[in-house]
Amino acid sequence: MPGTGYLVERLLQAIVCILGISVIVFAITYLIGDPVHLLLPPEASATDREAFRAAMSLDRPALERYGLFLANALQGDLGQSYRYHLPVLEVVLERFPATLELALAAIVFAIVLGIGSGMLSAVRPGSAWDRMVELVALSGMAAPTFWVGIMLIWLFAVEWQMFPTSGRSGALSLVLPAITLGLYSAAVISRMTRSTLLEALGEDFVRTAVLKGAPQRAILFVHCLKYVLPALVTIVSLQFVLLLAGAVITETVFSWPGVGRLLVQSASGGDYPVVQGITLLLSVAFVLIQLLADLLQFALDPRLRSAT
Amino acid sequence: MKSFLQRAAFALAVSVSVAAPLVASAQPSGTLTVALPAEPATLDPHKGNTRYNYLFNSNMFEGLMVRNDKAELVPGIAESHTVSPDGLTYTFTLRKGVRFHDGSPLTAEDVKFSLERATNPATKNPLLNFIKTIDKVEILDANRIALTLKEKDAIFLKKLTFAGWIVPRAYLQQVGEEGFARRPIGTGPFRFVSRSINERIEMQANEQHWGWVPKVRTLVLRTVPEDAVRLGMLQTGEADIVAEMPPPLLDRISAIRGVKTLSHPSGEIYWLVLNIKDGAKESPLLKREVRIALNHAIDRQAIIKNVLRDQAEQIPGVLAPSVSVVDPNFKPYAYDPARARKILADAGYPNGFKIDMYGSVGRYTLDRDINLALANQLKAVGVEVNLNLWDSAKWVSDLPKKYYPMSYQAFGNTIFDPEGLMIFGVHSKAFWSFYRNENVDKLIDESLSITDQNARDAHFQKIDRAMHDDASHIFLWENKILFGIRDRVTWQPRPGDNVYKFWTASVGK
Repeated sequence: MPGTGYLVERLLQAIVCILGISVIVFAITYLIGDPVHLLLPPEASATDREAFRAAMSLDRPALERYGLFLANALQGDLGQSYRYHLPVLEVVLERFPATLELALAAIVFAIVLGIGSGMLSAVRPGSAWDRMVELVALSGMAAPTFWVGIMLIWLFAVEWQMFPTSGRSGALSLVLPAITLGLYSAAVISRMTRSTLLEALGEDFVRTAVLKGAPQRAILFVHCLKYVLPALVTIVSLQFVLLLAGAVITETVFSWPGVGRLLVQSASGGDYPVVQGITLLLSVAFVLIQLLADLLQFALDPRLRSAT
Repeated sequence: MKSFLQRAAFALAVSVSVAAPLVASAQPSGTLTVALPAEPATLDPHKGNTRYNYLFNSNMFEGLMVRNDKAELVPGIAESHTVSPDGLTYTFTLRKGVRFHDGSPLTAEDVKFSLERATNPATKNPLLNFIKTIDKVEILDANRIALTLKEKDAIFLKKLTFAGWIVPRAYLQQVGEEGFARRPIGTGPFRFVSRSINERIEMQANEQHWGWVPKVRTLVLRTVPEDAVRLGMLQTGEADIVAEMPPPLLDRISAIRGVKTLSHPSGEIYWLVLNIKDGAKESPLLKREVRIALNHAIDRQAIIKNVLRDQAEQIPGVLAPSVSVVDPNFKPYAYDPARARKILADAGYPNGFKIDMYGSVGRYTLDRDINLALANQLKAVGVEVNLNLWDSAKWVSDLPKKYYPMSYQAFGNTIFDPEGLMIFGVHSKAFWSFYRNENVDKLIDESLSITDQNARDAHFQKIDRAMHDDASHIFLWENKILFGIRDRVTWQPRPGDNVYKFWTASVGK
């Protein structure tokens, strides 16, 4: 089967990558410091602290703890949360649907807005519309997420009361956080669509299509789309991963009960098993989505297939 | 302050006179939504260690002794108790007819199980230190239970209200540790309904409660970390009470129609901790005169007014006036930079000295701004402060092991007694103390055996004076927690109690 070598190579790369990440993740939480003082009140005595440390196996050598962490992780056991007193995997997976829902809504928003506006810009480069889209896209990239979120809440939730200010209570509550989260990606996708489409429009096959009298719509949606799609798959999958992992601020502003907020709380609360678990799971998701995107591109782009 | 107290007294008087004739027939009604910046991670009362755990626990669970809405120490699940002459055995008679939220009756078995669970190291109870003096729990008969202590504890009952929560044995064993943390059952005024982690906890009035049936039917605790969003929720009516607002938002809250603000003394004291313990061999702070000079260098009123927007009350020592007795004639060190400079010169530092200061960012209200203000005021009298500001988590985990010559800190009141502060924050043997004074240590040791409340009050004032005279710390203030409350809500927390109790709150139209 063609491409088997490629597939095996990419899979091996993914495994090495995840292993490397696990070392970094563990080392970072180890370096942050001693969680015991974050977990116990000032009223705990020195002996209590030692006992607590032993109960959490924090008194063992770092290498032994890493080995244990890895061995357990391979069996799907990411340890026990210090603060929730529940298995880490359970704590994280419980919040994952909220994050996934938000990321999906945001990426749909970003794709529709980004590809739509990018295509319109590319068709009439230099027009007033093109320049306006560019301005909005650049602002969208530059505006800090928390500011966009607070402004949207202030306008649409407090002043006009069209949406709830925060929380996860039905479809309406999804609108503002999805826009906040998806705005940056929409801007990136819009710019990307414009430039690749402009490039495609200058290619020989477009000239041929125009000469043989194909309607403009067919040129744009059939001929050019095929050319643009692989690049878009890459950019959208990259953006989607960023949305999954990067919802921290949006989730905090909108008190959205997702993984991002859990990560921040756990880091500041000393709940390191959860920090390790989330980072590891997100890294795995990142690597897998990239792998999937590569394979998809392999299928979409005949030039890649002939190269191997 | 005076007008605040007057208002509080007035509000109480009004609510009492209106409510009194209705008591017999009053049914819980309405929904009270409270927006808090954080939530309890676990709902298991023997495993949590934040203010939000304490808040949840005190509305949901009860101990043998409890704190009522005025934060007074009153019988809870036990209706009475006796103490043996040696002070080591407490015999409790259980209140009759107490039921858990699932309807099952509370038994002596539940009490024994709960206290053994709370003191078992395997439970990893962060509050173990409060009750680890419990040696054994014996059931005398169906209604009586005896606790034997390893050593005498003058305020054992106060500690029981904070760490001795009673949970249902049968239910817990049936659903398991994790199942219980997900769907807890207690005997308190509110029962658990549902939770969406990091978003909301919903509770409902326990109409079978033996004495404190809530006035509201539903209590919703929303978790909203962003201050501006809590403000928005107050404006749209999504929240009835928003808690722990940053002082700079005071004017914004006051400007909302139909909303009042409440500045609630927290019982938490703030101080600039001066390290004169083991690490401080060469430190100028070892000289008492230097510490006195630094106390004169700080303009507390300026910080309280300009940074904290009056959400704090200056204190002369370390006792919080809202929870401890403090002599009104006991005056703070006066702000007098000229005097500070003169004392420093007389002490051998005419050109001041260099010192490192470590401050947290994000741990205390406006801690970054306050650290900067304190450092600048010290610089103004010639002390060259090198201020290091660190993220809260890093700052805390390094505090016990790294040498911080000076650091801005707080110490909370959890049991309505200064013992916690003294034993864990002042005594030279304490893990969290950076102070050393044999006389103060001796006075604290003596306090441990004083049971009479008036004698305790007098004794702690004596310690407070001794620390003031020794300039043990740079004494600062007790802070106030800023609330925004919609006018339809009637609720008056007891000053100094930051474990908010909501069963006396009511909502109108």
